[in-house]
Amino acid sequence: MPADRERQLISDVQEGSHAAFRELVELHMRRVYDLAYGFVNDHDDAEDIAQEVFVKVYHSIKDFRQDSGFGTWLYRIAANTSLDRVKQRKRAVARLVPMEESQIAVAAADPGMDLIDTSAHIERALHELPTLQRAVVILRHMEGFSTKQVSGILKCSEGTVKTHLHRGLKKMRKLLYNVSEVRR
Amino acid sequence: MRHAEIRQLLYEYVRGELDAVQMKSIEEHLARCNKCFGEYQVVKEALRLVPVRSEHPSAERSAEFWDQFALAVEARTKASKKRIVATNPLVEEILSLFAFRRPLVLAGAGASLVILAALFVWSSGLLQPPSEGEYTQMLDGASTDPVRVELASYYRKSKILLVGISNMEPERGQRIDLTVEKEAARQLVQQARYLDSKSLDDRSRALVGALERILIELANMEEQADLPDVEIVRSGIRHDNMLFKIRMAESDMVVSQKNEMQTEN
Repeated sequence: MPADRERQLISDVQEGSHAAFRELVELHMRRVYDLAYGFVNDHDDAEDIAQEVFVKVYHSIKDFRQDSGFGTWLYRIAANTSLDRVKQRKRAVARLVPMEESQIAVAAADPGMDLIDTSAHIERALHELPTLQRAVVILRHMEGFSTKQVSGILKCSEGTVKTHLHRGLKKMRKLLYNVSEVRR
Repeated sequence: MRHAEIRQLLYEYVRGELDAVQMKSIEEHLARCNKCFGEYQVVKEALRLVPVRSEHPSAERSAEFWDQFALAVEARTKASKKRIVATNPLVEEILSLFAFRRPLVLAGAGASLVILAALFVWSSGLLQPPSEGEYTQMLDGASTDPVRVELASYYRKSKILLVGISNMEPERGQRIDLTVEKEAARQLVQQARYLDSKSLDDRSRALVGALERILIELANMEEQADLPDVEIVRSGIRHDNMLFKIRMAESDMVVSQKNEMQTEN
């Protein structure tokens, strides 16, 4: 969609247009959902977060200024909402027992382990990262946002994004390395 | 470039996202710096172990899910709006019109003026708001007109049902059990058909008909409904300002009843 059209939609929503808001939701809903899923790894939670994001957008879009990027603003809300959900989950139940490298290795030794298990290990390793590192790895590496976009979404410098990406990937590699070695 | 700068660019380097000059510069640095080369190997291995997502999770959701998504957001927005505004249901009814529906703002403003006028009339003593006792009295036979008794009963039961539907706050993603509401709606539709066959003034006939349409919609819903289905009924209630109209009609009936009693005395 051309930027002009999106700007027009935002203006219309700010003036109370229901149709424009719906179009805006439909334009971004899949990407917001994917982003939320990256954080929570659960379809129901991703749906709930994505809806919550657009509710927040609706209530605060009157204060949104067109001189800043709508996408950056929207995905910042999505990232923050997702991170809040992850924090709530951790507080609610200590169900994600901190993963030990040895545990991954034992699990990986199971010859029946399939691709879904591999994916699950990646998700668990991801959730072992500190919050900002996890956010950077999801946004930059998994969701394919540019470094500049990620710095806008997370409100930090591009250098910080690069540093956290490097550290985050290093830590994930360390956590997942044993799995790879055992499988060979 | 310094070591720290090199390490910050290794991700883009491994993915081949840098320009030719930067690529060459890093390549030369890695050739002579063992420490940075070690870091490069780590990043390369990490990217092998953590692949870029090839398929989007959103693609696992059905087309129907995405068709309903914006509607679900809209419903949730209205629900969140309701929690923000005052608890007075009449105020809620009016304010909910403003959510998303700018074309209805004028209608909402008009309704507000009518409410203010009604409040003014009430406070002036010209029109007393009906009490539950007065309705009961009418239903108990104080009114000699059986159609009027039936009409009062129809309004009262419909109001209870519609308020119940409007105030539902189901859990996200869970289906809503409407068994009781559907049965009540079916009985009220029967009552509406009885009233349709009787002589009513134009205003009462219009209100009975408008209510009947909503009740039929409710009676025809599945017993285990989705939130968007319920939202359609709710939007009908709000759009027609139905609860306000019922209250006004009830007030008119009580006043009319009182006037008749005074005339008889």
